[in-house]
Amino acid sequence: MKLNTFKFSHNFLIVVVFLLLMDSKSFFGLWFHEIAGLTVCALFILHMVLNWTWIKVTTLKLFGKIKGKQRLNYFIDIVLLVCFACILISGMAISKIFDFSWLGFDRQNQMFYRSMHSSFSMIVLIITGIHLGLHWNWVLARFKRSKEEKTSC
Amino acid sequence: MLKKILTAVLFIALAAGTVYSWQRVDFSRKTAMFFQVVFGDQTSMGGPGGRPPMGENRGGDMSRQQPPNGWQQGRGSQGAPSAALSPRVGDENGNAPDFGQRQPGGRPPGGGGPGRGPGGNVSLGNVAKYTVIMAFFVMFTCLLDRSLRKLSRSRRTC
Repeated sequence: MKLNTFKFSHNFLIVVVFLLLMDSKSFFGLWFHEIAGLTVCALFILHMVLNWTWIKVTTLKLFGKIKGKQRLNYFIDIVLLVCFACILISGMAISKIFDFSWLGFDRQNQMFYRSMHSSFSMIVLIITGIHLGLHWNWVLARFKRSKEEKTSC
Repeated sequence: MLKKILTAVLFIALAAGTVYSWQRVDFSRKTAMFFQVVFGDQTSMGGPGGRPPMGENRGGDMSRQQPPNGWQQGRGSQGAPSAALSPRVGDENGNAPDFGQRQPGGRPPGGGGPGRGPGGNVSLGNVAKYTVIMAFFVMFTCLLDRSLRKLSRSRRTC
């Protein structure tokens, strides 16, 4: 499988699973929500590894001469990373299937973690939409190329 | 031209869907609650009898403390008893309400709640709301990006 095809299917999987995660009770209940949540975090890390070259190059050029769109992309990705981290931490704190008490979360602050989890998930939904919109040309290019490959075959 | 019209129609439909979904999801209330918890704004959490943040005991007469509207009622409730507790209300002719119709103050049909089992429930209707919101932002960003690119191109040619 080519790297771009793998990247495309991987990104598609992240979006689909993330949308299914948005309501914890509507798709196979809480156990799916928690397992799929941890899986999405793993996929998110893999997404960063796959695009590590872009991250490295943009970080080095960030304060130099760089396109405005690229800088915006970088800023959005940073916000997305922070929000994902907040969702993961708050999700671990309110987890009912897995026991993350060894991480030392304060059980008294369940309401805080719960509202933090839902608020940040909505923010991530919006930012993911913006992130996808900024990379929409890449998505379309992938679609066109797969069509061309099919016709050439 | 047809492509432009179709794009505009799709954009308007998505915008309307987003507004509707946003209200159903009740994003603003959730975020407001988060900031209230973070900054400890107790007065706006239900007035003088507002619920204190978790882990903080105000002491005193607990019977006087009332939770803020909609806080303990579960999702989709508006301060009234939930549908599970209140009798279902029919119309003025005595007919039973339609199945799936939202009761005043009750849970939305297909919505989450403690009455639903721990697993095995698949309802993609709720996922659709979030998909519409995300699709709107994808399209909005995409259109904005394209128009900005066109603008910069036209400036360059000038």
